[in-house]
Amino acid sequence: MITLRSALLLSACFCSTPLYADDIFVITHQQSSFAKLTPKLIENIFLKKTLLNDTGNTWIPLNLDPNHPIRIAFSLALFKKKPEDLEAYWNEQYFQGITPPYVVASEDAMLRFVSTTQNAIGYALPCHITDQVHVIFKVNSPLSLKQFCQKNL
Amino acid sequence: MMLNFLVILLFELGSINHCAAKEAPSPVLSPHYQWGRGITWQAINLNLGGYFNAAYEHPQQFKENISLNDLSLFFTWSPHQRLRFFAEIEAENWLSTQGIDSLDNSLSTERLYLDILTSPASTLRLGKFLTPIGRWNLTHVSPLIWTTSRPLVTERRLFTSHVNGAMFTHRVDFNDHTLGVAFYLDESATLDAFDNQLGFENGVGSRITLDVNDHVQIGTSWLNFKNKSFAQKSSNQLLGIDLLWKKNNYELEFEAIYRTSEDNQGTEHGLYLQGVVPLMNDFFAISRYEYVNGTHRYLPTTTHIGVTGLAWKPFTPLIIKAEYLFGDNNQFVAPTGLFTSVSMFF
Repeated sequence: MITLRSALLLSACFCSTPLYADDIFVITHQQSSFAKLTPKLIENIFLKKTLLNDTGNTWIPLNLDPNHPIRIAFSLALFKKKPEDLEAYWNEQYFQGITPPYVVASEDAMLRFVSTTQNAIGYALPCHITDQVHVIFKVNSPLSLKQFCQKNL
Repeated sequence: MMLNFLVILLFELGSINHCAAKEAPSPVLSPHYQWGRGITWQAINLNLGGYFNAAYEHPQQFKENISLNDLSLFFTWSPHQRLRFFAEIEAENWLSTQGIDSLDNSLSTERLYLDILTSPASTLRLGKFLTPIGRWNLTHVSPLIWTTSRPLVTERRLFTSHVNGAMFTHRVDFNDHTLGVAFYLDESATLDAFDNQLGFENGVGSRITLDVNDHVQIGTSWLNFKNKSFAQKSSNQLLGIDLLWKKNNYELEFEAIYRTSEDNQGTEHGLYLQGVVPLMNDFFAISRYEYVNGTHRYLPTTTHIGVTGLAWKPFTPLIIKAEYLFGDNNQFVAPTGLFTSVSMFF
């Protein structure tokens, strides 16, 4: 219920969303206390520039496959780059011993992992969100994703 | 004995993490390999990887040489939320057409450090790590750079490429900018377990970077140091500025360094400016201009260098390069010639 209310509040905050845009929700564990995450912080978490959260635990960012339409939309929305355009960045990070976020096989796997793992952070379409996760941010997708609500990819 | 201990320790840590993660449908808990990202064992936060670089070099008036320049292994392990251990072991110039060196001579510990994450934006690093001066020295590894040759102003004769000591880094985000500050202390005289004769005696330095936006980063570096190899251990001062602009696969990189010296290493200053232009089919054209004035490798010189070449990146971890280096007064410090290489993260 709290999660649903958070989602509605977030939607209200983003009432200036263009009509063509779809949304992607950034999600964490249901009991997480991260109420305020800025877009820059979310970007830093998924780029693994920020490894620790405020409670002193390690963030566990999750990604979908680089060819997944929701991953592409999320990457374009957050980094203004396609997943493959970040490969040069991840090459540099690999040299520093930092590897990209874990890749899960589907949105369903993302939701299950986030709902059972403290400090995990992922993303999913609003139509697939369950009350097992906590919505902390809404990203406006530059791509239309409505057709992917038909089934959980 | 030590190996047995490590195996048991890894097994135990793996078991603990498996138990903790039983409720969660973890993406992949068993070890898995990804080309260019190494073997990752997420259950115990461990990654093993590395890279190699093989080169064909034909400087004029010197013998041509084919060599396995670098074979490096990376080891990353996070035994705790706030701790990250990293090691890079390298076999340098091990195999070449000019002879096969013994593995003992070739092996070196490139980096060996522990990162303590003191806050979400701050890290304390202890151990042996790359000297944070300019961009090139921090990303000098062959799969990350566009040319086989290295700019003179980033060479270890101008400043030692590694620090043995401690470094504190902090990052501040404001608006769309990121400010990064690093402050470090070197005490190689007592801490350098590998006794690098070209290393620092001791030193203190800092580096500040500003990500102006997604495309532009500027940086400044400062270092006060003494060299181990000189009997008269006088203080050296080094100042550097650098700039990186990247957009749509176009790239412009600039570094300038000024070093004063009271010992016989001499005063030196120089710069390089390198441009990268994407062509078709993952080919890139590269051009670089370099200028060095002062005492380089103990020789007074005023050198101008040009480098022009091609790089092909058919896959993310792989890069194949060919370039021609030429110049004025360059024969002793960077001979004219053809340089090619193949590098890959594995």
